[in-house]
Amino acid sequence: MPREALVSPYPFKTAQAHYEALMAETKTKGGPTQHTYATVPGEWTGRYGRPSEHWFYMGKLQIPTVLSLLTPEYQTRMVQETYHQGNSNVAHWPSQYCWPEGFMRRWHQAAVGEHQIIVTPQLVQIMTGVARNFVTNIYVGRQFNMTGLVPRIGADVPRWYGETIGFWDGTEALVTWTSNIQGWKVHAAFEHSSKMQTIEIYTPMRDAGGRFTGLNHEAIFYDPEALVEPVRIVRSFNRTSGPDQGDPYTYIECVQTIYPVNGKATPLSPGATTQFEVPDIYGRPWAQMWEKYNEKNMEKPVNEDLFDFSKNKK
Amino acid sequence: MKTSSTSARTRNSRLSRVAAGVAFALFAAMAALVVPVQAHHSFSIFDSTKTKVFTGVVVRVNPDVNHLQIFFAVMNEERTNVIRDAKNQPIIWAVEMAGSAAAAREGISVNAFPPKTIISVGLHPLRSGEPAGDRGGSAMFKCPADTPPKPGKHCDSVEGHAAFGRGALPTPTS
Repeated sequence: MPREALVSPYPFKTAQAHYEALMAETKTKGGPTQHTYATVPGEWTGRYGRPSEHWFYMGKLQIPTVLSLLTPEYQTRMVQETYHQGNSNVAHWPSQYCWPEGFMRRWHQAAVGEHQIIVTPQLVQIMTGVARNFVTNIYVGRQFNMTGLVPRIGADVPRWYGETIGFWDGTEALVTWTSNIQGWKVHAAFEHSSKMQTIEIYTPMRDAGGRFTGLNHEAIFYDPEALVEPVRIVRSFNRTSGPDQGDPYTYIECVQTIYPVNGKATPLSPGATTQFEVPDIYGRPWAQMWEKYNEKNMEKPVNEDLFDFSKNKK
Repeated sequence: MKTSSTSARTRNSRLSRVAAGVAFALFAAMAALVVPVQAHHSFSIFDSTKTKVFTGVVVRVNPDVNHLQIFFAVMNEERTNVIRDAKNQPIIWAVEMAGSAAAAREGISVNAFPPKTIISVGLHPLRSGEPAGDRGGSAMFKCPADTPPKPGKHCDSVEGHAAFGRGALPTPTS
């Protein structure tokens, strides 16, 4: 798959600029639309199957193509990930340990299956998950607090799945902006930083008779720390039924059966005992284990001396 | 400034040991079903009769929803660097406080306390002896960027410091 298929086709450098441009365009058409329960596109509410395949499944592209999207630090991290996946055979997948899935896993084939969408005038909720719950709450009509390092709705706390605002462009598009995302990784893919932000556009798909069949979901990812330019993923959700049919959506609790033992993922049966090393969740725990158990003879670059203030004394 | 003597460990293993100590203590507390209202663990794991006061360099803020933790390397008396163990590794302590959202409302967050931030904080240490403690209700102070206090002093003495919480630094116990 060529690099051109991965990067954003839009000229925007930031999610904010992208969102504001879409808002301005909507305003020229008299929007954004202030829906009521009578006018909101309720046909969106329902159940959707597994999304269509796209490049982030990572199975049909070359690693150097992906590396070309990343900044040097995140290139290094992805090479480390790929090396241990393919060479050491030591895979540290967050979900296998019931660690957080992380924001970008929402786009990964193995992390999500059926989706449930609930549409109201002021809140749209998307739920999905396999090992963990992905709950995307889109607060329609709200504004971000722009006073911090990244835009946010609530407290200055990075959230594993971010916080999302949006607006309606008639009944033909829901435009959203997600920010305040905790940096993390997707195994066999790349890491993203806590500066990751997305613009996502949901548009209805209809058959020749005009019948609603599902949603097109376009997402543009902005991360000035990890990405050298924005990337884009386009996928589609095919509606399978309303909430009046099928099995209920169930909240997921991840029960851990695989543990890192001596730096390697190991299934343990009930009653088994092992020495447990508490993961340093906010310190790239996967990398810490690789460095401890699989990189003993490798040299790391020297980092800045964080603790020397001798030159700062006045 | 009061510090605790600790064994020689690496920074990462110290972070892990701190977390392990806290996790074990939390489990023990939960098992005993001693769970105060609006808290997710018993504070009996901390020795409230003891107070330590540190000035240190932030190495990490863990924004956990249950209790935000700041990990910091304890500074030397000269305030020119950090104290180190026998393996020349920084001595890392952790201070826990309210949940990350409540701490953020007080101005304490990952973004407000990036690595290399100098702080002064009091804490009630873990009874287990692990290098971690609970901030309790005392104020915490942040020095201006790249501006450590004068020797033996804390951030509350530095012009331009920021205070978090009410009052002053607590008085350390002997």
